[in-house]
Amino acid sequence: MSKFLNYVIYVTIFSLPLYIIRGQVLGIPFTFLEVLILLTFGFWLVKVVVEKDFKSIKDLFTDKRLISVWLFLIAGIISVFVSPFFFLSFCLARSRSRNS
Amino acid sequence: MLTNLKDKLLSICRWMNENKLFVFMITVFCLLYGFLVLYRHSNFQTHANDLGIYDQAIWLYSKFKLPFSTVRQPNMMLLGDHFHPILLLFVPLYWIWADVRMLLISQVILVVFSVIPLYLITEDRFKNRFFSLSLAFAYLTFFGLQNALNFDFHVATVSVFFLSWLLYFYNCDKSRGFWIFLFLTLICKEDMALVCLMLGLYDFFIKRNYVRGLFIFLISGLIFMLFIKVISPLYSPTPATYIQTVIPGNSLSEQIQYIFMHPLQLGELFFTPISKTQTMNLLLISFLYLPLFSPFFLFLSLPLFLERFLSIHELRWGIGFHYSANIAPLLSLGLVYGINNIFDYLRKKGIRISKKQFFSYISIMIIIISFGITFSEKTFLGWFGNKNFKIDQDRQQNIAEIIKIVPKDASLTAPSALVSHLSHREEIYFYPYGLDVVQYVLVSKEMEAYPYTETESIKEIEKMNLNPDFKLRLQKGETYLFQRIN
Repeated sequence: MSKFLNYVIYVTIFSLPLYIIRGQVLGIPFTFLEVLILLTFGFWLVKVVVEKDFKSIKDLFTDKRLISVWLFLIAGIISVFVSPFFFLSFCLARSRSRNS
Repeated sequence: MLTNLKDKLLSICRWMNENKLFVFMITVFCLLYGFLVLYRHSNFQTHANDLGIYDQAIWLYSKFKLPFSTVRQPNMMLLGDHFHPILLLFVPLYWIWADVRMLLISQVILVVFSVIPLYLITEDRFKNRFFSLSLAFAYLTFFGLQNALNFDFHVATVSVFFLSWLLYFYNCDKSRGFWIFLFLTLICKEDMALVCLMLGLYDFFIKRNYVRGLFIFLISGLIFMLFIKVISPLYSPTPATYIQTVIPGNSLSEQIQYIFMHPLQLGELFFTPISKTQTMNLLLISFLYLPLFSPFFLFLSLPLFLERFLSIHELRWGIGFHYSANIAPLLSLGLVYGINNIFDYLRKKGIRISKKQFFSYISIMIIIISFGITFSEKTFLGWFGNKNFKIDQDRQQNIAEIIKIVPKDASLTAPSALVSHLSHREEIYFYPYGLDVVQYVLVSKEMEAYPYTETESIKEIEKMNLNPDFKLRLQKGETYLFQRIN
């Protein structure tokens, strides 16, 4: 399971430029990268539940190496809410660059 | 002499035989783009600006007359708009077949053939056929080139051929070819002089070729200043676009002062509104942001970025028209140099990576991104997926019959979409310009009538019917030809 998850994570990282490929999933506009990120997140969640590895959820908030990731995420969320163009900012934060 | 020529031809044939896939790719793209541009023109989707303008200018040159354009602005010497003596190279084509389609076809050939230097450099540097072909594919499907070909004819689009070969000869250090293409690039368009100026600086500071670098810098700067300070003010009623920037200040010195006093605000002007950043992002992601690792790209593309994103003209900030064309050779070559620099850095750090896997990854990514952008941004090649992709033959026949009636030397005003079909004459305007002076007026409900909307153009036709100075000479379908009677 861990090996498979690692593989999915690598694929997601190497597919970062694919945010440019757009499509729809169940009528909702998505980028290819978003789908991959959600799938990776889904696999990770399944692994946590199946292996009862709930410590890794706690690690997300306590691991100092993840501080920069949290800072980026919080900054992104704040930027979306303080922007005068909420929808446009939300789409940009979702890596949807044009015609969101 | 003959043996030399025969040897050269034989070596070209041998090279083509060794690179069959690449030759096939070039042929396919020539046919695809050639078909699309001719379809677009036959379907009355080309415009007075800029196909009509260039067609009239080259036709005038071919008759040994100065290019006083009536399409661009009544009786305006076209050299005041852009510095483009390169148009003279197209004149012999009009001696063979004086038809605007000659321009469209030759532009397609020049754009597609501009990929050859890139392929040669990539093959020479990395010797990875799959990567070279993928990069050539990414270049040929680059949205900037597609949108440029989808926008009539422009010297900015044509310049990619000359710039591309200039960079090739610079890269290979082939002196004769370099100077010939430097000259040809400099006479393409004034902003190419700025790119060459930066090439001079790069040569001087990075390559340490002091004499050559200084000479390139001086000659390029001289041509640019000659256009801005002498030619443009002499012939154009409006200042050159390079002076019309969003930087506050009434004169160049005030603007330079502002740049030094407010560097942060300059950054804001450069990146906002968001459409500018979106365009920059799309330009760079097309080549995986790798050109940013190349000082060569950063040096040479700087004037193109500044001129475009600090301009007051909003059209330039977007991805449409020809505005992203001339950066294509720099971006693609920037990717090659960027990868080279990354390899050098890794080697210095003692980090070893599998080059084969790296190139496979880059190749697959740029191909996927090319497809993604082509279809998501509705670029030119995406037309093949359009359901309304057909020619209205009745309309085509009607308009052909009307055009036959207009005497070849008569003055005329016509909708923008028809101007490039009629621009081989000294006086042609796009409607409603020139209404007071022309002998014939062509109006139509059957095509785009920029600057009018569909409703406005119907009103214009009604107005023409009531105009006492004109009588209706012929009506075919929804297209009307009026002739002056007073």
